[in-house]
Amino acid sequence: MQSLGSDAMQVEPTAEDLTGIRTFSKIVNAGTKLRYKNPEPQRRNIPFFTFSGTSDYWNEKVQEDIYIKSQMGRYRIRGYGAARPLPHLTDIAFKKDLSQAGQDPDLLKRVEMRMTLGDKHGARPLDLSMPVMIAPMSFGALSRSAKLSLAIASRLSGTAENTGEGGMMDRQREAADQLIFQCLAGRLGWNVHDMQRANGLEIYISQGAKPGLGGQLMAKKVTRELAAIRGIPEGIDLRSPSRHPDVLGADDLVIKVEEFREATGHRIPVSIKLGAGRVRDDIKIALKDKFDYVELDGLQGSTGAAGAEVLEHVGIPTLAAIQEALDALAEIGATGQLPIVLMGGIKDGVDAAKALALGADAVAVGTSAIIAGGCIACMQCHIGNCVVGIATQDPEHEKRYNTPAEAVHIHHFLEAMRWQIAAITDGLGYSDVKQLCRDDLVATTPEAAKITGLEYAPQFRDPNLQLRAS
Amino acid sequence: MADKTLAGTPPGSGWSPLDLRDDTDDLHFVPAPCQTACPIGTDAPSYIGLIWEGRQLEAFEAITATNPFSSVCGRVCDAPCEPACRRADSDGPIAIRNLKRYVMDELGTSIHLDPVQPTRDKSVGIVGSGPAGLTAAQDLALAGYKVDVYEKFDRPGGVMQWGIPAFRLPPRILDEDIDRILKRCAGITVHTSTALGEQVSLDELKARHDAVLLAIGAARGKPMGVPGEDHALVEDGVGFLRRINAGGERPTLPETVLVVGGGDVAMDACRMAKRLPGCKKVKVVYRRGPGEIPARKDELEGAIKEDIEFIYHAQPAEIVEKDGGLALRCVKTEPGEPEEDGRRAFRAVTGSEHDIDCGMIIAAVGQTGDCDELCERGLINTDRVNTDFESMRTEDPQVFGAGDGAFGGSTIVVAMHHGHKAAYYIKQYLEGNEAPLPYRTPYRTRRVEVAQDIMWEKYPRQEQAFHGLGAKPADFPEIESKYDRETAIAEAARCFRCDAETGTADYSVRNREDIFLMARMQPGEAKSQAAMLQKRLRPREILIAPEQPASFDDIVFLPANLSRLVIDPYREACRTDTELGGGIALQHPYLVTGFDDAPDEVRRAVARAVQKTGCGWLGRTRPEGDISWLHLLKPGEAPDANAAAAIYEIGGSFTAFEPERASESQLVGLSVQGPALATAIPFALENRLELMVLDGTRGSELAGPPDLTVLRDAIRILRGLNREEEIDLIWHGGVRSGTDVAKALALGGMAAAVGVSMAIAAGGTVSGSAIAYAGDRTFEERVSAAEYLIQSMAAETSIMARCTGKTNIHNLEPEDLKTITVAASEATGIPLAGTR
Ligand SMILES: Cc1cc2nc3c(=O)[nH]c(=O)nc-3n(C[C@H](O)[C@H](O)[C@H](O)COP(=O)(O)OP(=O)(O)OC[C@H]3O[C@@H](n4cnc5c(N)ncnc54)[C@H](O)[C@@H]3O)c2cc1C
Ligand SMILES: Cc1cc2nc3c(=O)[nH]c(=O)nc-3n(C[C@H](O)[C@H](O)[C@H](O)COP(=O)(O)O)c2cc1C
Ligand code: SF4
Repeated sequence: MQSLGSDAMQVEPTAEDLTGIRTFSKIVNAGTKLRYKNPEPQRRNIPFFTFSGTSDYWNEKVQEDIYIKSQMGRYRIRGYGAARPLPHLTDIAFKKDLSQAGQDPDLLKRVEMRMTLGDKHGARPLDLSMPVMIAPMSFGALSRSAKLSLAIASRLSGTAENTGEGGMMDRQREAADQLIFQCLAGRLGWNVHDMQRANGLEIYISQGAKPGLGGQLMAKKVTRELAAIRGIPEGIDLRSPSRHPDVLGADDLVIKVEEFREATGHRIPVSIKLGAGRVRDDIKIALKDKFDYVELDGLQGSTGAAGAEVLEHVGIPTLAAIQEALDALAEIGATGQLPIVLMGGIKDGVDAAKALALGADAVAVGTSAIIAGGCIACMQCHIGNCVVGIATQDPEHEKRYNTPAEAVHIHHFLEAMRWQIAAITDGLGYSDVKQLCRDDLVATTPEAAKITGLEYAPQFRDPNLQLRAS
Repeated sequence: MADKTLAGTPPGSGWSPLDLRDDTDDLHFVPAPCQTACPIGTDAPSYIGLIWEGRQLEAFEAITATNPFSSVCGRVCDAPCEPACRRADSDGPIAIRNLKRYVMDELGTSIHLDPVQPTRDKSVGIVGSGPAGLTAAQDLALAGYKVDVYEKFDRPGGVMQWGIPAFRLPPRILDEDIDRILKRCAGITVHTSTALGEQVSLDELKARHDAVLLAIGAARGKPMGVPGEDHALVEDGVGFLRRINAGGERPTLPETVLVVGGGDVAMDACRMAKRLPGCKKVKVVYRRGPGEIPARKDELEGAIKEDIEFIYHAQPAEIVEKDGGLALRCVKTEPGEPEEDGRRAFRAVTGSEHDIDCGMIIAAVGQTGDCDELCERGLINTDRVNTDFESMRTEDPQVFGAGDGAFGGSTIVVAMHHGHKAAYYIKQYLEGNEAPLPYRTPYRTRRVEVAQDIMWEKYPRQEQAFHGLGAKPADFPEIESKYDRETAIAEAARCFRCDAETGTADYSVRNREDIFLMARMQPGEAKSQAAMLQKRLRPREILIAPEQPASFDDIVFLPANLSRLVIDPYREACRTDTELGGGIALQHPYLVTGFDDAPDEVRRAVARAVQKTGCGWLGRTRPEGDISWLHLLKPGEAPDANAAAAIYEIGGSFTAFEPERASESQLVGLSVQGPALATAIPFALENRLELMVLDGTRGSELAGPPDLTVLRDAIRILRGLNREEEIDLIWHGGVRSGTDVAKALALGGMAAAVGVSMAIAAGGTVSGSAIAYAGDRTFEERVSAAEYLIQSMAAETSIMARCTGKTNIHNLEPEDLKTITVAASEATGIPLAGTR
């Protein structure tokens, strides 16, 4: 304690005080009522192209959906993000011929990629070897081993890892050079000790997979250890709140940011995680509330578990999100004043380079990093029996995960992204990723053109790629 | 058991291996690691999926499509697919080989396809009837060529015939495959006991045939090259296997037998010796360590289980007589530097001589090709038929080579790959194509659905029961027995199905596989990195078709974040109660419709659920129970006094009529399609009608996506008249979920009709343009399903409202929406996301 205030003093506790403390009893919720009655029947994927688009309207997927709901009386839950085809970065192309790009073995020496993030308000910034970070993903949704391998990979590639919801693990802290600590509405696992040993603090408002809703973690994954780290009963179907209890609006948020800064001596950058909705308004508020940067997540962003309808139908696509964010800043003459880390469906360095050229300052990868580390995209993360030991808390399943090997795989994936971004930058005639710009891009679909305002150039589509294979 | 009467009718499509369509370029398929690891591209994921579904005949088709020795392979294939299996890294690979055996044991002898007759003049002579020779023979015969196979031995099959012992591969299994090949390929003639260089010469073959393929294997045992090896108690491994397997001998052996070597012949010889009378102890002497022994893992494990001793790091130096028996004098070896083939070199340790006593030594230290005539003609180079691997040609343009005889000891499946490849180049040659495209193993998929087995993540690898020597070892009973049905299905359920398209567009099978590859590429290695970049730069297929009609799916909600107060969905309620036309009070904004002609039981069950959940009923006939009924009728008909409302069906063209009310309290409305809106709306307002059903079904809900412009136009007309509040709009068309309803409400509706979705919940199946009901459900089950559907829809509708920061679903408004396609933006008037 540094100051007790002017009229306070330190005294010894009385005997009465001490017995009072000893008879203190902890109230623990057994959690028996916090579990769903009928478990959701487990189904493996119907291919994504079975959707309203060019399939039958009452297709197999629709029928399955109705059938399952009629058997359990509840909305459905699953892992991953919006699964149907959406306008995306993939509908944007580079104007210039890049067919010779990336062949120079010395490529990385010629392209500047290093960047700092988070010093807008005087904090010590993150030092990133390239504009790519690991997206926040929680221990809980992911196994301890999977989290650990992400932390190691982030160090090997000189970038930052993020705790996501659900607390910080010691081993994760040790393994990652730069670790961002996320604070959610449920404040699960949140404490000042961990705040101080983080390299970044992040207030979670929402994420692209389930904006406007809190998280879900199914009972199977709420193990003793996990419950302890989050401070909740073991074995419940955890539904986290979606609203910070002491943040009712923009004005409270600015106070929260200030509190975080004070608690950490203004040393650590404070960011905000936003699922894309009314981005135009939200970005302006984020700027006003003095965040150092924004992590902006589109409709495609993934999760470990969320309502299927929310995953598919709430929020705007990643492409629209970055556009609205940039427009918002331009509208108030603040272009370039709030760095934006874009995420949601970034699959490679090509997507990343397009996002950067559109105006994002960096990107983050969640699902692709997980896939690089062995995920097979079965979308059953919510069940907790992950077949490769990633989205599980079951030791029998976690055993299947080879942390050192997968850490190297994730690292290699990040390095492939690095190569691709560098190759594109170089191929477009630049020497610094910051030079990537919109003039290099065209849109290949009417949607992408309208959303971004880029020139519509259908000739950049591949004529051989028919709409759908028979 | 599959239907055997189908024999002769090719199941599936493209049954013939020669007109395999190659699916490598399919946008929604990437060959699984097991398939690419298989030298003949076996579509393992499909057959595994088919086994799970119990579609054995189709599984048989998938297995045999490129593999003429499927029955053999079900038992003794080297199965390079299994180490490649992605599940190998988690809890053990799928037992792909055992699953193959399961199908072949069930169907192997029972299915024969119609014979294919030769249709061409040219003929091919093939020397050797092992897997390489007979695979090429089958391909060429199916292409219409006449094929003569010349075999030195008195039975066809090569190593599979004389080399692999019956306890691993009963002879009937090989016969089964050969029988299948020969019955199918009428153009093949096998000449047994006809050796090249003895009964027939190469010149004769070249004169008789347009092309010759040499697939002679490598079956001459190499000598050990140590003094004393010509002792009578020293036998060559190949000869030993041959006289016992093919010759049927069961000699009595001395108590202790030594086998020198660590390859295929050594493994089979040691296990065979162990089973013969007299033999008590078998020791295998191998010059390197256990990490370097070339024996297949399962064979090595089998031998160890059968109590065979392995002596590693021992190099034979001499064989001497000792106490009436023999002693193998060895020196110890120690590992040296790794060699080019990855195996470590070894060197002898000085002064480490020691004797291993025994009664007999079997030398199994390698084999070479065996044909004096070819040697004399210079076609054999040291010990192999000199063959160019790119073209399968020898120095003689008319003569081709394949199999172990050409490329050294390998496996059955590699020999079959050579057979396919040689057949391809021979065909090109016979057709006069001098510069053929390089041969490529085709990767085909049968697009089988993923197994819906809830245990797929949990089942451990299922092993076959292992019996070892058995009760009567000298009868060579089989070492393992096949799966039963349950085990096969459990094993099949485990498959990841790496080949199948995923459920997500962003992480589609192609994207996922590229990410996998990127994660396995060397950082900074320019060539592979550049190649991957080019792959990733390719534009994706256009997933949103420009002509795609607008659908509810193309509309999204805008969540509350910072700009609006977030509602806590798990703790704060959201109201769904709905009042229609000022007179009908519902718990939820749903009117169930379309059950007028449904079977009585279904109709009653749905009505019960509607009553329990407090929804409404829209239909021509009165539902049972205390329900708010909106009576559908035609102008001129009299409304039922029991109905809460009368809804006149106007359809697409409006003519003025006299709307009636059965009572003062009864509400009245119209059901209108798009073209009638402009006249029907002013009429309804004029007559103070309370309700309007907007029929966007395009005639029938089953016809396809609803016509969303009906809703847009109705609102525009009302807004134009500035009388939006005077009539309640009920949306009808394509409602599949509570989310769809939420969108209809946000666009201006007050409630929505639920038709086909409810029918599906109540047990109906969509068949063409109608719904069919089977008697597979009880009344109570239908009630519960209908009730559950309404409950889940209500949850969905309110979640959408809560996400946007509303505590009442009726507060949803157009401002809460954006669209994601141009078509939807036009059809609804809602701006595209990212735009204003
Ligand atoms: C003991 C043993 C066990 C094995 N076990 C396995 C196993 O479990 N799994 C596996 O995948 N692989 C196994 N292999 C390897 C596999 O059998 C061979 O790679 C494969 O059989 C090679 O096929 P091929 O057609 O090239 O030759 P072969 O199978 O050897 O067939 C060649 C044929 O040509 C005939 N021939 C030779 N010379 C002449 C001539 N001059 N005139 C006419 N005919 C002639 C021979 O009699 C023989 O029938 C084993 C090999 C051996 C030796
Ligand atoms: C398993 C999993 C857990 C996640 N947990 C969190 C979390 O705790 N906090 C958060 O802000 N985002 C979380 N996310 C969302 C990611 O941070 C990110 O927004 C999203 O995954 C980006 O999209 P992508 O997966 O397509 O890259 C999670 C995502 C996944 C896949
Ligand atoms: S493999 Fe595991 S992490 Fe990947 S989608 Fe399946 S359950 Fe989720």
